[in-house]
Amino acid sequence: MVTDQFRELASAEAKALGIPELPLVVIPHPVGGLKEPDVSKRADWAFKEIARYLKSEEGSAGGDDSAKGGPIQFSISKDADIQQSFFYNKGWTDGLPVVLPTPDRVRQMIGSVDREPDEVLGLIPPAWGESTVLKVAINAVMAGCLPSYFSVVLAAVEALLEEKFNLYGVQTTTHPGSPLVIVNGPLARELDINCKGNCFGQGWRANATIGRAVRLVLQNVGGAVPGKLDKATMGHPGKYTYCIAENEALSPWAPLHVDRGFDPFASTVTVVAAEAPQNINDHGSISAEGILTTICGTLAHTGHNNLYWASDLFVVIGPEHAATIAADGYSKQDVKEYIYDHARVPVNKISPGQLENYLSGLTDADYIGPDRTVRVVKTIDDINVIVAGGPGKHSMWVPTFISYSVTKQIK
Amino acid sequence: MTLEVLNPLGEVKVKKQALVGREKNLQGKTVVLFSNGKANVGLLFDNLERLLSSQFPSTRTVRKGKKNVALPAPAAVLQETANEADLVICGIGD
Repeated sequence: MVTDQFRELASAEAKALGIPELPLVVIPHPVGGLKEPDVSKRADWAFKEIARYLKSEEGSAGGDDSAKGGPIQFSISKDADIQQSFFYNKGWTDGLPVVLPTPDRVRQMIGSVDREPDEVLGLIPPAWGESTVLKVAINAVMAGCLPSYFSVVLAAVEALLEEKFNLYGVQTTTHPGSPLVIVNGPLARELDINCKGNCFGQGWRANATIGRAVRLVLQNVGGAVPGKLDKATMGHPGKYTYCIAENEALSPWAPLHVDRGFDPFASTVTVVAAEAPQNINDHGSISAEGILTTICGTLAHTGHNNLYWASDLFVVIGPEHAATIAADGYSKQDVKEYIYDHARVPVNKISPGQLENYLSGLTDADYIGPDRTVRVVKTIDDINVIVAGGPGKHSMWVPTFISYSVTKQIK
Repeated sequence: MTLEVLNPLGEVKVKKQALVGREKNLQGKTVVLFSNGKANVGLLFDNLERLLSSQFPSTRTVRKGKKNVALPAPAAVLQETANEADLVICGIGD
């Protein structure tokens, strides 16, 4: 059963999984959010469709194994405007002009790594397109990546394909989660991936194009085209590009990749399915506890997924806030423990209907503390703390989707 | 004069699968209502059960499903369902 707004996704999935004749019962959208009489009407509609299906003739299984993807290359006009229209009208862009993936440019991109073009990294849902080194290179060229960035893009795509990232869920959800790519280690500095002022904003070619390449791969190889198989209700600007490096030089603590067991001199990429970052403005506190109170207060609101589904989240502490916190003797573990204990939402801030949704399958005691508050983070290990940003008294936190972050070494 | 550019789309290699034969008469059969955990699926299924039992009094309906809306259903639950059901109604994609 599927609502009409999601019929295209359901049909595409059935085809991609080799069962195009899978019967679909299509009913009007929505079902969630309706009162009982309207749900009952939807059930009546569904039942009529089921009855029709039971009476109809069985569809033919038809067809054999097949491969779809289209021609390997196209001949297009040399007129620049016509070229851009070609790519845009095919649905292959993010709305911005692209760098044309000519054979020469793609060869240079692949030549920057010691990998074979036909090496398969994995299948990207929801279309289950084959992500080869070649296809990632084509999309990296389109994004405007320099060849020196390609190893980062490949590592990011490999990380997204790990089961705990839940790429299938991320690609088809109505939630705005989009991969945030965090780079650590010497390569971040070598490639000038911005970790300082405006790190979440524009201006650095590496940040702009590495994140963009990841998005184009997910869209073009995985088929997650907005409005068709990408069902994000709102999306967010990070779906254009979402890539930073950690400001390891100004962090008073060990960097993320070292926390995760990598050598300090290794270069890594971490991906997490992230909402847009939320600012944490604290110009008044001069103690660790003060800044952490503001951090916890910012996390403690409704409307984000972390409040009811377990997944990890990121707190990106600005260097000045980090220095103040560390000056009071707080380790990163102390910071995590403080956030775990104090980032709580009073139950009376949650609507009864939403609380019922949050509690689905859980008891009150599983979810609500004796003080009638709900923890933002379900386990302390779900909190990740990094340092990034420039001068100023701001930090950020990044709510996430039902997905766990993955770190991969960049080869 | 033209320019050659490469195709950025992923190749989809479809492995054809066969559906089991259609069950046309539900009398005496088992229908599994498989929930994906979305809001109001329970209520939708309550109504469907009522309708199914009114039209097919000897049909047995069983509820199964997954708890997390965003994660795949556990393989064991899917296998149990396949073993038990003559028909599966899975909902809801919204």
